[in-house]
Amino acid sequence: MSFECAATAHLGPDDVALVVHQGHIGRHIGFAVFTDKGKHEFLHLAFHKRVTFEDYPPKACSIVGKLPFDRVGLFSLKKALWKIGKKAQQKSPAISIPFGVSIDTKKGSFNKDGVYKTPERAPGVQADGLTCATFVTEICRGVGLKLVEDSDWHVRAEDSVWIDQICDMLRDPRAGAEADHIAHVKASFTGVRIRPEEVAGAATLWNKLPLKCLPAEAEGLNIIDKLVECCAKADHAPAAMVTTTIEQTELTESM
Amino acid sequence: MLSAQTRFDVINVQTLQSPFGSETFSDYRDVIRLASSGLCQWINPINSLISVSDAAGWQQQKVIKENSLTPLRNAWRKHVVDVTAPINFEHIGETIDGVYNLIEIGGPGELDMSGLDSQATNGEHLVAALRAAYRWRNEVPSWSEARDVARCALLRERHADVELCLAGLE
Repeated sequence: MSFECAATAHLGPDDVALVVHQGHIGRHIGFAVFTDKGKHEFLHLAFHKRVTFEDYPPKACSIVGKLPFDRVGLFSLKKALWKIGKKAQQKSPAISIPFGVSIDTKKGSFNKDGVYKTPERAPGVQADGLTCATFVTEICRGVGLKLVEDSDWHVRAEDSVWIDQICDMLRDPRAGAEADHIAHVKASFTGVRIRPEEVAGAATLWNKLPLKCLPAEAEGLNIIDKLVECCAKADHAPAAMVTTTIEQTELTESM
Repeated sequence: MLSAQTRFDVINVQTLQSPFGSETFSDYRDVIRLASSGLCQWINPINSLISVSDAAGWQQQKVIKENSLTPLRNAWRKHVVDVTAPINFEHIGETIDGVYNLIEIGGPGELDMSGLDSQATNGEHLVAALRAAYRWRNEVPSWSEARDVARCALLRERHADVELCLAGLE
């Protein structure tokens, strides 16, 4: 599997792919899947309680890589994405996935109807939710296709800046996040974060087994390079130099 | 499921109490869910279901549920036991939906994957069923056994990459 510029890449109807682009903070990731509209669409967790199906390729300069699963794995994934996408299009509350940062294999899952099911916790305890990266890994995990070995991820100092930026974005009234949820997000962050480019990197290297942190991290850097290169060629601003602000664009994170 | 939940919400819960206590109440709720699922068009109208509260009526509803589960128990197997079944999104999707529908109505315990013959099993359709049931693999009877059957079936079919097809189904 390799990533290429989404603007020129060809995806077949049976392909399910990962799409990476630059967000407000770091990279952003989601799925490209062929839908019953007869075209590929971009399904992603845009931010707090915002799962969306959008046009593919996205407006932002993007790279895309076809997932390396066999056809039954791809059909299974496509079916799961259709269920979730249908809920998203209906704006069903069942799919309003909160933004959450804790890396916990019990953090949540999707049931057969594409409804996000938060983990069982004590009454009144705020559910964790997902990031755009764990949205991808959880959906794959749901059909038995683990991309990453999350237990191998470790604390990296630079992510302490990320969590502060994320909490700032959550405080934006347009995010619609409650104060107690923001406090929970801040408090639940252990310093361990699976980055979007690492999920893309894991998918690139995936060979029947989930990837550990180190190789995914290294390949993630290559993913960033590819994104910068693609967007430079495409006469976009280099991805790493994108300076759009929340005020200029819709509130979409890069978790 | 949402519509079923909505209907359940507006029903007077008292009328749903079974004569056998709270344990069977959940079964009774299953009947309501089944009736409103749209999967069994022939089932009694929901109002007649909830008006029955005596033991005989309760037994009758259990029979209705059992009768409705029988076709669902067979539906997911349709392509799994057809070695000539096409491998495309439409047909694989039918197998996946068959698994989902049975789990929805009967719970994962109803999806009995035992007794499949690898010589007469479509390996890829069985893998699709295993993936659909993956979240409930610890509750589905013989899920692991079926995975072994799938491996044998894929080998018999000379599948190009058996390990890739089964990836993650540990």
